This record gives sequence, C-alpha cells and structure tokens, in this order.
Amino acid sequence: MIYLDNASTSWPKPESVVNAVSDYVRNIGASPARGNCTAALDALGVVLDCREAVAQFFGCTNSLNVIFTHNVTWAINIALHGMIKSGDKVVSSTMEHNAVTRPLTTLAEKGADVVYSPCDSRGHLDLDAFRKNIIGAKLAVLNHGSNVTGTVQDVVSISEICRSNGTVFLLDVAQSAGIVPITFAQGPDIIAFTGHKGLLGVPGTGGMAFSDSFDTNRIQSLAQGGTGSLSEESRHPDFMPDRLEAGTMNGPGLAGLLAGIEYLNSIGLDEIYKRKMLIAGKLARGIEAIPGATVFKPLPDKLWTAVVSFTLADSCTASIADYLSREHNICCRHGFHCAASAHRTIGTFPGGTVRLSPGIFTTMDEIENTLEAVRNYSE
Amino acid sequence: MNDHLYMIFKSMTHVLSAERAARKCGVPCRMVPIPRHLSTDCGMCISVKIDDRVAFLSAIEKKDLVPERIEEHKGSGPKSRCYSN
Repeated sequence: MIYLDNASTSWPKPESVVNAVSDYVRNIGASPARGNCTAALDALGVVLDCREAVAQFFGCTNSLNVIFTHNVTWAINIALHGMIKSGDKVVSSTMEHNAVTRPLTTLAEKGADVVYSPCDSRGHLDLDAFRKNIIGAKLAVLNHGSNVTGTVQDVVSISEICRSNGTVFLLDVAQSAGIVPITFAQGPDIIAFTGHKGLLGVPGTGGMAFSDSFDTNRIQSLAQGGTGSLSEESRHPDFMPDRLEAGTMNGPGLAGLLAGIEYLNSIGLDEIYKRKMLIAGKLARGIEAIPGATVFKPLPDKLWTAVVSFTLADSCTASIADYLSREHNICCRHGFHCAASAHRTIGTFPGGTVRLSPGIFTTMDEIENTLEAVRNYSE
Repeated sequence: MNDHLYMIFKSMTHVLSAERAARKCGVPCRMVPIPRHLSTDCGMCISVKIDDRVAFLSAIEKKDLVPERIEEHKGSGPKSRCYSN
C-alpha cells in the first residue's frame, strides 16, 4: 500500500508512538487524576507531560492553559459555542473545513452574525477585505493551513488586524501543526489542534492552547462532569484546565501524542518541512507535467503544507481515486475533503479534487510509483 | 507538636505540577491523599516539612502555582507514595 492521505490522518506512526500507546495500555492502565495509587499517578504524569509538551510546542508559558479534547472539531466547537451568542459577530474565511463552517452555521441559525471573508484562487485570505469585515467582530476563526490546497495563511498580519480591532483570534492548526512552525509569538489568542495528523499521535486526541493574555473565563464550558477535583461540589470547577475538560482523559492517546511531539522535536520542524517539500514538490511537478492536469497549490515562494490537490481535464475525481485504490493500492482522498466552500473559492466546485498528501515517511519510490499510476490513468 | 504542612491545591493537575516544581528545586515533599477531615474531595495534596515552607512556595511560584489552603499536621505524613525525598 502507498499511503498518501496524511492530511486525513498521518500513517505510519513512529515506532515510539506505537510503543507509548501500547506501554500505557499494558503497564499503566489507570485513569489519570482518579485515586492515589501508583498507576493513577503515573497516568496523570503522562497527561501532565503531554500538556507541557503541547505548551512548549506552541510557545504557551503555562501548561494549565492547555486543554485536551477528542479532536480539533470538539476544540473548535467548545470555543465557538462557548463564546458566541445571538447578536455576536464572527468572521471566518471561504477556505474553512466543516469543523468551522458547520458550528458557525448552527450559531448563525441561533442569531449570530457570521461573515465569510474572501480568499484568492490559491486560498490566501484577502487581508484588505478581512480588515473591513473584522470591524465589530467578537471573534475571528481561520485555518492556518488549508486541507484542500495546503495554503498557509499569514498569521502575523491577521493577528495584528484582530488585535487592533479587539477581536479574539482562534486559529485552527489541524493541517499545519508539525509541518509549519506556529506559536503564540505569531499572535493568535487560541490555537486549536488535533493530535493525529502532523503531530503524529493517534486519533481521539486534540485540544486547545490559550495565550497568556487570553481570559479563558470568556469561554463557557460545554460539558460538565467528573474531573477528579472538588468532588464534593455539584457545580463544575471554574479553574483551568478542569473547567474545559470533563470525564476520563484519553490516557493512551495522550501517551501517543506525547511521543509524537517528542519525535518531531528530535528531528526539528525545519528538517521536516524540507523533507516534505522535497517529496511533495516532486509529486506536484510530476502531476503538473501530465497533459490536462491542474494542481491547486500556493506559489512556490509561499509556505505550503505539502498537500497535492489536482484534477485531470474532465475526469471524475471519484473515478481517479477508485482507479488509484483498486489498481495500485494507493490511498488518497477525492471530492470536497469536508470543505466545499474552499472548492468554490479555488474553482473546483462541484467536481472537487483528488488529494495526495505525503507524510514524513513517504519515499521517493512511492512518489515515482504514484506518478506512474496517475500517468497510466490519464492515457 | 505540628511539624508538617498539608499544601492543598485546586486539582490533581495542580498537585502534580507543584510536586514536580518542588522536586526540580530540590525541596523534599510527598503526595498524600487529602485527609477527610480537611476536605471531602477525593484527590491528593502535598505534605511538606514546616521548615521547607518558604522553599516550597518559592519553587511552585515559578510555575504560577499557589496552594488553596495550608494546614499544619504532625509527623512525617501518611505513608503514601514518596516522589521527592
């Protein structure tokens, strides 16, 4: 199998991640922060280690300002539903994933004023239009990297615009974390992340990190329940991180996420980015050389998350993906990738694209074989 | 004569963070279940010698941690898991 769907979830995982998950399940087992036995304290230690690793990764000075959720979708929902009420204005973009557009649609139905600021045909936010749209907005929510084109937004400029307007900036780094450097030094107030893509953890992990200056009391908790703290109180704790976490933590998953971040740190993001550009660049150039092919990506001098989205003349993207899977055992994704608005923006609606997303373990031989397969289909 | 302190925090995350911060600074302490007469919470707290009070509080302050309550008690504390001494 040639696995080129790392934008959905990264695979394979580093051995250290597999071992960390396995070790937790085999040798720790207990529920974090529940009880005083050695195993429960070891479990809590893993969660705390992961919290500190995430905080350090995003440049967050206080690890208590990191919360864990099932995935980035849950994290974004907590932020949006916990902050936005009827009459509040929210600004987003036309390049968003359904993890953003669907909760925003629900909030709009409840009376929120939701504005989608335009992007160009390569997916970059139009900053002049955004500067006008942001006026009066309580919150801006944008993805850092597009899951369709791999386009990376200018977070520093967007943050400055948000700050000058007094708007909270929630940044979705599902596609960029672990590939493109992103920290609070670039200006966002909230970073929502997933653990199972570029951070190399396993599914079922994600969360949010908050900047020092952001008042987390501005977010109402969506779920209340057991935290292992203040058990005598029927009211959910009002302090971080318990305030935005309820129920048993995903200990095995967080052990894997911790190992994933440690793996990334051991290589370095600069090296990972170079490696990804080498692999994805070769793939993109090879596809572009096929008659009738169009690759949808940012210009070469712009940051890119190594996603190769393409169409082949009038060919149905489902047919291409079916051929690649059936005849060559190549895993890819076709259609809208849960981001129909992005396809309207780049001009690929309603057909969508075929998306090939290499990972850090993808080899040049796999790229050659994939290019040969696409060429065979196009002939 | 009371010679130890129970340092009581908001949550287990705070307790373990404080215990690690103290350990990093070489301050002896141990995590123990919160005695039921002090709290009906089912979590843990940290037992510290009275003589180490200032060093402990100084160590955890570096991580922006402050105990919710500090209670005196006698002896070396319950025989629970010892992380630091």
